[in-house]
Amino acid sequence: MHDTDLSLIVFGPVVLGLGLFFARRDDRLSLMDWALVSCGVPFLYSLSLIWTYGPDGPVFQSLTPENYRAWISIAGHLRIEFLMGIDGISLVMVLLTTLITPIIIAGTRNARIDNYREFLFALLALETGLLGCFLSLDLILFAFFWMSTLTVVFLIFAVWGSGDRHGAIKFFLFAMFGSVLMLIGIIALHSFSEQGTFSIIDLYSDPGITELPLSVQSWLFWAFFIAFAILIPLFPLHTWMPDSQSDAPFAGSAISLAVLTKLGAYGILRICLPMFPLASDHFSIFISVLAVIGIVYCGWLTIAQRDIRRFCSYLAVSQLGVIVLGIFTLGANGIMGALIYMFSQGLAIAGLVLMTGMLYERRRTTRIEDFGGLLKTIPVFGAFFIAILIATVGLPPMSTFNGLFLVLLGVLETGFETTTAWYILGVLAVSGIIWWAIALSWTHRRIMLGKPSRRENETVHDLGIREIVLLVPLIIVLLWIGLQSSQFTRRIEPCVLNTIHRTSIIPPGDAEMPLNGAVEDATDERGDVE
Amino acid sequence: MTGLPEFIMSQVPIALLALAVLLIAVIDRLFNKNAERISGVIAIAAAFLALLYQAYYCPLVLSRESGNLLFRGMAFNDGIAAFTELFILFSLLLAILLDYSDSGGRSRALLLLSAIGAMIVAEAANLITLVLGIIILTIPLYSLTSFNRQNPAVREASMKYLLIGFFATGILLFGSALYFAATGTLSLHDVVLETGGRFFFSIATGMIISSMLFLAGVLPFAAVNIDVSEGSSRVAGSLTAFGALASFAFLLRMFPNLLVGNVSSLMFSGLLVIALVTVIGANLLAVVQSDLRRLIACLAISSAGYTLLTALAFNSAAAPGVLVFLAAWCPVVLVAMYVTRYVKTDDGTPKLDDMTGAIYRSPVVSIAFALMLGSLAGLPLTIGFMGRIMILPPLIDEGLTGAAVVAMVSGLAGLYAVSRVIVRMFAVDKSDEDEDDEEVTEISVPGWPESIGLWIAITFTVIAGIIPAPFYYLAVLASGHL
Repeated sequence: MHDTDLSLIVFGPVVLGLGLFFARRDDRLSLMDWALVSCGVPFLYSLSLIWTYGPDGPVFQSLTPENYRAWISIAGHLRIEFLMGIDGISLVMVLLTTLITPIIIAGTRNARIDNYREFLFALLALETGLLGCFLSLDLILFAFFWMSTLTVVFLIFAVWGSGDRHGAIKFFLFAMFGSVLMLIGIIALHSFSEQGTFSIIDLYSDPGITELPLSVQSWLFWAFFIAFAILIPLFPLHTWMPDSQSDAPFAGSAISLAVLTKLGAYGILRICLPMFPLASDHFSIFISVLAVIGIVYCGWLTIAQRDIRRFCSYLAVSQLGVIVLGIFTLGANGIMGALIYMFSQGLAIAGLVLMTGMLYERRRTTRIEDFGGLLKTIPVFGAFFIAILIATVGLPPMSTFNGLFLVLLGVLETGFETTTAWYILGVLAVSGIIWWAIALSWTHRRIMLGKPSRRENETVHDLGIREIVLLVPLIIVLLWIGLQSSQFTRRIEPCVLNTIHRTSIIPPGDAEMPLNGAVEDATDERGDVE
Repeated sequence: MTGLPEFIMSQVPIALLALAVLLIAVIDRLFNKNAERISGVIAIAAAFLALLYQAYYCPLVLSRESGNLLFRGMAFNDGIAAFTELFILFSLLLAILLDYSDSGGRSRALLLLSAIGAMIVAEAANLITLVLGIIILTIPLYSLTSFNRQNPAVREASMKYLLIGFFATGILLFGSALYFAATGTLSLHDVVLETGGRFFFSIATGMIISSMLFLAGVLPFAAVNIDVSEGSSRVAGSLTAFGALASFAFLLRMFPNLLVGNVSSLMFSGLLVIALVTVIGANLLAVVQSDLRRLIACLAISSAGYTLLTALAFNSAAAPGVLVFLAAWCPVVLVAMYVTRYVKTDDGTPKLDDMTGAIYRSPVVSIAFALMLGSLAGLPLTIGFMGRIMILPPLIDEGLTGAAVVAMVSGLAGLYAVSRVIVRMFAVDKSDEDEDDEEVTEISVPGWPESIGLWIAITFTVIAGIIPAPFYYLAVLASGHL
């Protein structure tokens, strides 16, 4: 098994994207083609991870070689490393990012975007930032990519958005507030660690971290969790989402709803659960309550929306609560379900936003009441719309159903093992599917069914070949994972079990969890997931 | 070269700059035509050669185990001085390049003189040296402030600078007198208190530190900087950069001697309050500014507050953190202030709205300005981000976590202020819509030296933000001499 060079995947988009500035500014087709090459090559290279990543091998693989790691390294002082590596969790996120980005960029072909070249470069820079976050194994490096990502998202929202950009500034301030807390948490972790390191791998087994009492873990947990919760966004920190999404360009909205929100969940899995197990367990029920409130409350709000962009954003907030709920079951099924749902919901919501963008390009409006009877005019669009809606609601055979089911199974299992309050949470969470179904079916009826309510709706043109080509891969992947999910879960199962083992409440002084070979030990202890 | 006595080798940059001042003064007298061009060449050459020499000499000093005293104990020759002088000279070179087309011989000579004064302050081991350095640093810049006397804002700025500056110098002199009364010496090293001298020593310490804090640019002493920046951005930028580098070099050396073991807890608490008030107050003030220069001045003051906060953490990580952070924000503030001079407004005071669509009218200036502001706000891909990373560990290790949280959270206000400018710069393309619109503010780089200066600043900010290790390494070595 040979290692994949993760730096090529991370920096490929932005480095290749520099070639955009050698093309003519007004040649949109060439610019888009080059942007597709810039993100397509890393995508193809990232597919090699499916074969090179061995679930039975060490937890973290394809680590940066030792002699390339030194970033700031002075004996007795700060040691910050350029350390990257991949495990099952980041594999899922990397594949989601590299798959989504070319589709989103291709979807900008007919979009009326000023300064198109700079916009494409911003999207490629955003991809680099996201990939860097998912693959960083040094906390300062993670913070570097994290804040870079937020800055680029802010620029995309502010520069290419519409309206007064208050949403963009609101997002930036929310996100940076969380980043500041996270930065302080990172430095505090460093000061507690006996090895004086920022390396995530070393911190997992550092006695100074593993033996922290609950009181200290709690503060550190919240410093990180607030940053991640803002980005997810978890109720009640979600208010930035609808405002910023309604101002943002569709491509920016798609990538932020599909991938950026998952960055918060990834952070919880990578940092909060393994490093602060006592605090994670202590606050799990409280956080799950917030998640369920978000599912139900935002589900209701989704039904009430009249603007399709705010509709998508509230729907996403509601669905993202499921991911948080699954993670904080602290069980194998819950976390596995959350991971499947992260991947699948990302694809589904991206598809939904892309299709709303296609509607906007045809009708130049996002008000739901301005549509109506479109199924007669654009039947192919209607067919794909149904498929995406089924995926978004979480119905079989789409993989979102698999994720939802496992999350709910995990909730019920946790209720069986701990407190019956989880049963109530599970029932309320299930109701989210009902609200989503109501919202989506009602919206579908208003947009697609009945007679065309306006003359403009009678002359809308159907999907072209290029647009179909964009949507087909999304639906195929959702179907494939939905029908063959064992192919997907097989690769991430050992990593999930490893995370759970780290999250198990280990009394201070007990033997630490070894990193290499941990997969086999965890699997032997826990048995099969399904 | 290495065979020369140390006192000569250490003063070569000062000598080069002094020689340049003399030459410019002579040329200004002898040549009416071409005097400006020749003086410009001399100034750039002197600054560049001094910087090159310092870049060669600094590692030699840092490689020693400890610093030395020169001129019979009047000056330090240690890592702190070497490091800060490197960045004083770098800032000087940028200042000369960025103001090349609008400067005459006299203004360049004054700028060179002020840089000399800053380097003397950074080396000061005796209160006489300190006072001398402060006077040489500040008087030329006060004079530079009043060059454009027709502008009322300029007249106001120069008067404010003069009054506040003279008060600060007076307090320093008074403090020096009390210091002498308490210790029997004006030396700042190997201090032994006279019998019954503790009371006077405490007051002297307070007065000396107060006057240095004015130079460092913290509130409430530096509140005048916000007004002055509106009248004369190049003076504000230069005084902020040179003053902060020089004064914090002095304070880093002196804090452990002056604060520990004396009336330390009260003074320490007072300084902590000043630092926090500076950070919080300056960031909040930045939010309400509509003038670009005032905004930059507020961000500079908040940066000085962060620096002071870190300097109060007396641990092994504090001094390197302070030095790297100084290197991160001082040149950046200077560049940002000078860049505002390229925004041509009718009243000479560029506002936030004047930057609307700037990226489309002048991409290089806008990118440079955005990077400088982003660095001051601590955004990644700039040296400002790395500087913020470096100042957090000493605070947390010293138990000042609460102060660190308050300071960093208040930085969000500064970030909001910066985001308002950046959104305006990138948001609207006015170049196509309003070609005939007289209200579109012209933004242009006057000449090629300014372009070179901008690119040097951009390169420094980004490269140092991605590869900060060399600066951190130099800072660690420099701190070893404390």
